[in-house]
Amino acid sequence: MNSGAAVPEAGARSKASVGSSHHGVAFWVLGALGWAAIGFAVWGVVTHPGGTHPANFGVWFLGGALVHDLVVAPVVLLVGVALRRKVTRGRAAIQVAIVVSATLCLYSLPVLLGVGGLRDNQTLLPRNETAGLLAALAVVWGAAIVAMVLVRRRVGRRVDAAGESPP
Amino acid sequence: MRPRPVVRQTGPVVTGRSNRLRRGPFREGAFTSDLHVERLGAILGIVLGVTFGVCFLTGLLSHLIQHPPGWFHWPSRPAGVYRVTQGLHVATGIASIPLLLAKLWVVYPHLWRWPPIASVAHALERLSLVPLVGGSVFLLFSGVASIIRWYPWSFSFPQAHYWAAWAAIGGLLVHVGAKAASTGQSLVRRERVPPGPGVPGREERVGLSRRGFLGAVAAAVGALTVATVGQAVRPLSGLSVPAPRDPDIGPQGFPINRTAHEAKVELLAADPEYLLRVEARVAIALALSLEGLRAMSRREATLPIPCVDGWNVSKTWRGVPVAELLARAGADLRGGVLVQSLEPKGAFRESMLDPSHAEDPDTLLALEVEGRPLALDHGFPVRLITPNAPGVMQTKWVGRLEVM
Repeated sequence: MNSGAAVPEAGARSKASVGSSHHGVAFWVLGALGWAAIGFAVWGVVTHPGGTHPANFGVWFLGGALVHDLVVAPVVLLVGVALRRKVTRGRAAIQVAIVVSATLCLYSLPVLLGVGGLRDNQTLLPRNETAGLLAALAVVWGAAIVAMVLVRRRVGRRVDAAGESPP
Repeated sequence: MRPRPVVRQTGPVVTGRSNRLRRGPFREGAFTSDLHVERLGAILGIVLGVTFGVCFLTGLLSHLIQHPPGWFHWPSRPAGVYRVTQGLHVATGIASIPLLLAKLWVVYPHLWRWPPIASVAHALERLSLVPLVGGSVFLLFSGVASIIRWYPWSFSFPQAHYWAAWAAIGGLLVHVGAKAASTGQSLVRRERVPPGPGVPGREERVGLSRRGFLGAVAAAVGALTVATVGQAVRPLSGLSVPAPRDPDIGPQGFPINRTAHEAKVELLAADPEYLLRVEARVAIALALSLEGLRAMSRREATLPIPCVDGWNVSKTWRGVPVAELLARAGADLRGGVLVQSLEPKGAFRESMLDPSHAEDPDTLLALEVEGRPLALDHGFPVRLITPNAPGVMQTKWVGRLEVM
């Protein structure tokens, strides 16, 4: 972000300022196009109230971002901190397993809660989704445990198992 | 997307009144992971730019096909294009879920940057994150909810999804304009984090590296894709248990979107007095009974039903070619044909056949599928089958053709 303006972090300044954005032609051209599209969207929502229900739309539109920023992200960050404190060896495998299984669980959550589907349509969600999810999680965590065991064995030989290898 | 300094702050911190407000997540060093770096944000941003671009274009196409403005004509050939574009729309949308969450996690410290606003341009740039992030979360959530028929809101899903897409793509354009230069730089530069006592776990890394982080995100994308894409890609359907549909499960061996019960056509469709009417701009208005339709020359075509929800099935249909029916009525096809269902109401009770679709010899009023009369839920007595059109436009329980 525009660190051309006063960025006070003197100690980190050299690193921080490298990634600043330049307000060149692309910034203004894409900015104008982008704001035009945003304006079109606002116009569309406001002028089609019968379908868009602007107030309800606004709640869901802003609500999603707020729920992410103020609930989901902090929870994820806290889980990360807890992991760092509690798991001192083979953490990478657990992190991967958590990322993958959290994704699968998040996607399956509405199905597991039984909120979707139509009672009279047997072709929607026709299988045992709970069993399917459990099977997928078993595969993911099985792989994670195997990886962790392998890493812990190698740690003795001081091999950086999950670290960056040179390009 | 300024990288968070990885090395702990040791230099003098700015003094002054404004800094007293710098508390909680705003304070220096509040986020300690060394994965909140620009390079990861840039890589995930580029991938998301591609997936969102694909979603936007395929979604816009689907919108144009279903609500064609005067200048837009969607051809009936090749027959399987919509199946691919809509399958991609849903699959890339689902794949974007872990990508978006990972991206937002990487850049999360910027939400709490200090000072919050540095200039007018910066304020506009940050403001554009509202439609970008709000729109992205909205689109992915509403899309996934709608394919399992979960509507926890009051607005119309297709309309809200459509307008939210414009907001998100607008926010994306502003964001790309603001970040293109720094993204390019961060990809060229191979920034190395110096090892040192200030970086926890760096000397003997036990947690994910940057590369490992990207690998975890890729694994999540892969797992979620395998879990869902089977609804469109048949060989994977056995693995895709959480997918909303199995292309082999349903009456006569394939799924249904809207049941006869839901459409309230059970009595109307089973009525022995059923007549198919061909009316409006015709030389001879037709009214054909089911027997009359069966007596006409029939044609067979193997065509897909690609649902807007992302699943599709290809079946062999047999029925009366619409073009032949219209020729018998002496209709002029140039204005298109409105195909109306027996359904008393609903947004999908009728569909407009573009002239290219009306003239296509494989556009049928199907009486049979795979050699057997259509099941009630698949559109008995007749349903429209036309190449390269969304399932919702392949109207079931057809009662009337109105030549425009």
